[in-house]
Amino acid sequence: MPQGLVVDPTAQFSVPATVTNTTIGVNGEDTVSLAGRKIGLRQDPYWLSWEWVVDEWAQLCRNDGADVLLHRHYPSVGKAAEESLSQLDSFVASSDVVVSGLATCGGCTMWTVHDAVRALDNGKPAVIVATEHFVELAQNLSSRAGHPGARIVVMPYPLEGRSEAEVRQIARDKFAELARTLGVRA
Amino acid sequence: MTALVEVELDAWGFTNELDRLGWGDGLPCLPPTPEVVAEYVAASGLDGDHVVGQLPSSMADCTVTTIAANAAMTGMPREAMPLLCAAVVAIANPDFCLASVNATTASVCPALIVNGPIRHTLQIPFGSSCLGGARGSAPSIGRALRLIIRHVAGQNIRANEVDPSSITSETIFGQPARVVSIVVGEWEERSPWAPLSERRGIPGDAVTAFAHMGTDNICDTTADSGVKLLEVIGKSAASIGANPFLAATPFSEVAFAINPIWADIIARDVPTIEDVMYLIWDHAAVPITWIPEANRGPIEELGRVHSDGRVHLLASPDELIIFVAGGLGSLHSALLPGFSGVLAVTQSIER
Repeated sequence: MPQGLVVDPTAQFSVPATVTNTTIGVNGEDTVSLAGRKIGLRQDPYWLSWEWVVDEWAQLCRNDGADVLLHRHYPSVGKAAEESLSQLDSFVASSDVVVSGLATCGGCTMWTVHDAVRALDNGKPAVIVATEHFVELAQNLSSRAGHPGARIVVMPYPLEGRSEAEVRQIARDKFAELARTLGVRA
Repeated sequence: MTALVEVELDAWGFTNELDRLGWGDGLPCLPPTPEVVAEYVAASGLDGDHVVGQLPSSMADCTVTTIAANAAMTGMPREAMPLLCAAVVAIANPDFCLASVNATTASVCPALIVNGPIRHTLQIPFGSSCLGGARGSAPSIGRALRLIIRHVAGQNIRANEVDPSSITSETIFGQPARVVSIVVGEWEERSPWAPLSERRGIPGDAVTAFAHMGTDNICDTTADSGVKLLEVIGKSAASIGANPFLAATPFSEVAFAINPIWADIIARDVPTIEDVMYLIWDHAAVPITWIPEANRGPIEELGRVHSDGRVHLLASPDELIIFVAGGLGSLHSALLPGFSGVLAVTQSIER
């Protein structure tokens, strides 16, 4: 068979080698408590289960002495894009750490990562919350966006189809892991 | 900078190497030799190093040479390069939100609706079998766009040959148009209304990229007026499993290809396209009680429940993409269901 050269039809891109590993502690160090911290919780009304998780985590954060800021995701597309991004940036600026979820479908994983990366790009710690099935997608998209190793809290999959009581219990059970991922040692 | 790879140069041998290279879509491909790629670049009227766009999720530069290499692999007519380049510009527009289109669990992918004289030059189908099956350049153009989305945007589907560390798409079912995108013309000469692209502000040669979930058929044999046809068309789209009805979907779009015979009947009774769009929009609605109770909260919160208790599929008539196409046998029009939170983009084609 004749051999010869062809033009590579793929585009070259590189994933940065630096690993994002920031936490809410001073200078990236772990801390002992959430007390006094402003925890930004991203809401996504697509997922009722995530609304319940956010509700539970907000209460638990407040119980630990943290302030909670809530931000409802709206896609930054079309005429509302500028306003949507402005609101997101304001939320990021007001928070000490952003908890971005829920990555439990393809599009919502993309937007969850997008909003977390918006925080990381602005020097704010961020944690992505993903269900088991969508962890790889979340890792890959955050890597391509310049943040390999972004911190991820993994939730059971699927979360939908479970009762509110069951989801709220899962949220309570996962809170300690969230706190550790945020950088709380205790 | 153009990278060259040594391969077998006959089509059979090259096709057999595609898996090893991680290229292609499973169908045979032609080898994009530098000489052939140069012909495609020349046909674009642009410099080979010109960056046409950056496609997510890789956000890598998509150059004219890269587009040409993918086009050459499909055997697409060289004369279609300006159309393909315009399509890449359209899907790279942030409003199209290719990042979401590529990542989603949905089956969504771009369809290209072509307006202007270029339809005739390239023999883009707008009559019988225009959404698939008509012989001509459309399948190769549509396939070239899909190869670009794989090779440049880096859309890697969760499948047995893909390393999990490179997955960027979670589509559950996919669809045939994820191999060969729909490329369809508008039958402007049979349309009672201004061409789609002109209505969207770009007269002449233009392409509209629309993110669709497949095609659905709308059949009617009994309507005795244009108004009743519009009722059938609108109600056919209002399925509560449609993405635009998803709880908390802020905006969506839906496209309809209306056959020329129905277009004449409709225009006789409803002359303006604005009124046509309003009537379709108004009929594309369901009572809020049809939606499961658990799903209603976010819909109500967005203010989508009308005072008469109905929820419209779309927030506004402006979210309808209407174009005239299809065979003259009438009876059928086509629905191209839309996705959520993405917008169609119309781009002029520079020749």
